[in-house]
Amino acid sequence: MSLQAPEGPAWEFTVLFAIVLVGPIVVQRFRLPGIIGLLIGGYLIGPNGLEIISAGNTTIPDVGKLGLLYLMFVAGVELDLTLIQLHRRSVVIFSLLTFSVPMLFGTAVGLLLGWSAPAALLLGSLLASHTLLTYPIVRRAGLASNPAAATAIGATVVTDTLALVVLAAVAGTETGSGSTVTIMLQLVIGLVVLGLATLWLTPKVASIALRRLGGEKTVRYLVAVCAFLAAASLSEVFGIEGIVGAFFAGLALNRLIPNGGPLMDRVEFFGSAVFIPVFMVSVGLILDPAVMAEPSTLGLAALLIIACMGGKFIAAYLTVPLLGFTRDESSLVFSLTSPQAAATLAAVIVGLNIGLFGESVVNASLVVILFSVVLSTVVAERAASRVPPPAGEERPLGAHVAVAIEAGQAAEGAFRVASWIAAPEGGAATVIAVDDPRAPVIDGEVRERLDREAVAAGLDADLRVVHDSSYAHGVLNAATAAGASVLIATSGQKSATAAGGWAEAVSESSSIPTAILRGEIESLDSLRVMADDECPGGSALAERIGQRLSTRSKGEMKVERDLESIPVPRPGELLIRPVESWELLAGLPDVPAGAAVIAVPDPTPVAPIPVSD
Amino acid sequence: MGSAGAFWRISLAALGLIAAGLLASGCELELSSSSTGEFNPSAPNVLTVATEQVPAAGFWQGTVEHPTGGFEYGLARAMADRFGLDRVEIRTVPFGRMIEGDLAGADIGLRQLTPTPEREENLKFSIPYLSSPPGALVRSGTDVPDLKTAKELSWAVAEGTTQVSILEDQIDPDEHIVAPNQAAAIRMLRRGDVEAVLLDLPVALAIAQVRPRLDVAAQFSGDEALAVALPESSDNREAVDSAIRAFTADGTIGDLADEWLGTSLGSSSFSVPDVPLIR
Repeated sequence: MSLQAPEGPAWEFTVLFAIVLVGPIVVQRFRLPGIIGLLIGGYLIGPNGLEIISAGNTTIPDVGKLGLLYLMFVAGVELDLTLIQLHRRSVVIFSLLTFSVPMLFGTAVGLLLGWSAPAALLLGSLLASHTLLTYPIVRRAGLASNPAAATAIGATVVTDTLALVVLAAVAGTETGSGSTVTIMLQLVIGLVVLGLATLWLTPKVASIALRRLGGEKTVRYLVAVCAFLAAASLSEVFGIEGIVGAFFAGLALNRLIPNGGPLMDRVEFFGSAVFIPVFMVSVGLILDPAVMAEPSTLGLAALLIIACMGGKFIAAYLTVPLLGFTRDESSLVFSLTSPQAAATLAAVIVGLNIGLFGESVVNASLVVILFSVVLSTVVAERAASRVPPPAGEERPLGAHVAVAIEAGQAAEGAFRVASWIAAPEGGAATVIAVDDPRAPVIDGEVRERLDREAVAAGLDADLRVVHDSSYAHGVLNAATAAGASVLIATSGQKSATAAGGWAEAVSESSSIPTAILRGEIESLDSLRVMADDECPGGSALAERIGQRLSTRSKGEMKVERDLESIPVPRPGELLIRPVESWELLAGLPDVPAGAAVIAVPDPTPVAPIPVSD
Repeated sequence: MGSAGAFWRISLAALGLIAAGLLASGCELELSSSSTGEFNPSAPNVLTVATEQVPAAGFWQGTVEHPTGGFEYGLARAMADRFGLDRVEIRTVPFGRMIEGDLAGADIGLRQLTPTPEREENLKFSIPYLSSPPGALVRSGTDVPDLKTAKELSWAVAEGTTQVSILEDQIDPDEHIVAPNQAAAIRMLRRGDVEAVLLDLPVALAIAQVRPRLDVAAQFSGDEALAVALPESSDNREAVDSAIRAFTADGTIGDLADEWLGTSLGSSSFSVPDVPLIR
């Protein structure tokens, strides 16, 4: 019998994934974030620990680099861009503050220590960025839409983008060849090309690819992977770090990969199970407790903590006089913008890899990360308990669109309308297909067809087949369980919308704003909203739906109050009409091909839906 | 409002405490004035480098007094420039003494050294500057397409090198000789005493470049790498590591490999597409 010591890729990956599995579980028992377990695990198996992974190993660092790109892609894709539009002024003011103050302090610390200007600037930029690590605490407290929290979340997009631009400039000048002017010119051209390619071209290409090829779930995921890798490669062509391209690709696909949607689930699943933990472990490989415990490292860490936390603290404090936030709100803002994790780690590793930072800076940064994570968590818990949740806050209509379809009916038109409503918010979608349990017709083939049609309509939807003999019950239960912000129910049969039909049953019992769609529309050429003073709730909802859809309409939205006649929509026209009575709706004329009517019943007066995301 | 005020006071106090602690320990703390660690040479303005012999194919050209080129000489020059040192001085030390920790007072050792646990008992090693999987140096005309053929060849390997255990464990040939040193192993190959010599791939490529009728017939998988050796008591490792990372990122190492080893390098691994890889 000839036994051999385990070695090679299979053994290395076994050890790696054992750390990914066990590391976070162990440290979470001590109420520490999982990231710490991954870093410690990386140290244990690395050259400074048990040396299971040798210093010359290239496999894990290479996979770690892929993980770093993935991390930045996810950071871009999961940001809520709608908040920037909603709180434009406060986001711009605060993002400039929370970027520039720590940037200034960090750069000053570097220069005072006698570091080179590029190293000092990179230090400033990595302290200026932040990661929304405490967002789940704020969301859990129902404060996601609080103006202060929304400002901090929206500012993350601007702050991290600015930090990455500084990183791109510093890294480019350090690794590029030629005169400074040539390098800077190349970087500027590179950033312009990268911006155009990712923010303008990528969404278009990805959208076409998803529509044409996206029937398969695997293909949809691979389109996203290819998009961020292509962006990372393109940025490297211009001497810009790949993480900049990956982050830009994330921003570009933000609307196509809605938070809470099935594609985002897959992106997050592979990110949290494989790529991002592997990156964290690969960082742990260079962690050296001997270096970390050195007084000079701890002294440097203390300086960085003062520069970073001090800068973030001042920026948050200034929101009181400048933006009118309360003290509690400004501490909430501080708790959201002080955690240093993914973005900081990404920048410090780039600094290490280009020889601008030594291991002592990396180890000092890890101390900063640990300190900031603990401090911000404590502050977030306290602040969240003191800031009152917004009262009667209206949830964005497109946050989560549920589309209910009848088995066997054409659904493409409904998917298209749902996609138009969800798009402005980058909202998620659920397709609810109700099947009669006594005579089921929805099999694997139908599911695949529905999946394909939803993707072709630009809808990243989770398909739920509900077996219920009552269509209305099935739809309502599934839509409520999905946390829908609006329900689009569709029917090809006129009887469905007649008095006593399922549409009435759905709208009478639904606490979710509901719209009944009839007709199949392909292209939105014109949009007409009819208001009815006798149906104020339905009219308001009709107008809200109209406003969502107006961004997709080729013509302007027309609001009419002439309810004497019920007009017949022309092909390419969408008519949105409040419904005072179901008898009136029964009088709706047949909808011609290529046109559609959305009937909006008066919403049932119930308590507002709790904000869940 | 009162509790919010308390929060701000506590936060400011925490930051103040850190600042005060830092100031209090400031007298004893010596923070590095370089973000990449400081390099303190043993002789002022000189980078002293220990190596086994000059010339050494591909790695050192010229003489000890007047070196003219080579991969490792180029690397030493680049380091001297980065550390702001005026020149490079060479000291020759036998390989056996080097791996026992004797660098003859030099700041660094550059002699295609692979870090091993035994060597790390006597020396510090930097991060790798080249990965160096094993390579088979043969006389022109000898093919090594697979492991079976490799087993059937007669091999030589230099004593004390990491290739000895690789040859015995990974290839396990029918016949092999452990030569006293690398030069002796290559002489055996040229005389026809053996059919192949196992060397670090970059070394094998460099020798094949300057020796007519010798070729590199195969590379074997492995995560061995070449690193800079430093004396056990040296505090210069962080600076050397940062230098190697910078030279990898800005293409210095790639350019040196191109010029002296005759091959282009990928960003993170040393893999030569023209040489068959045997797993």
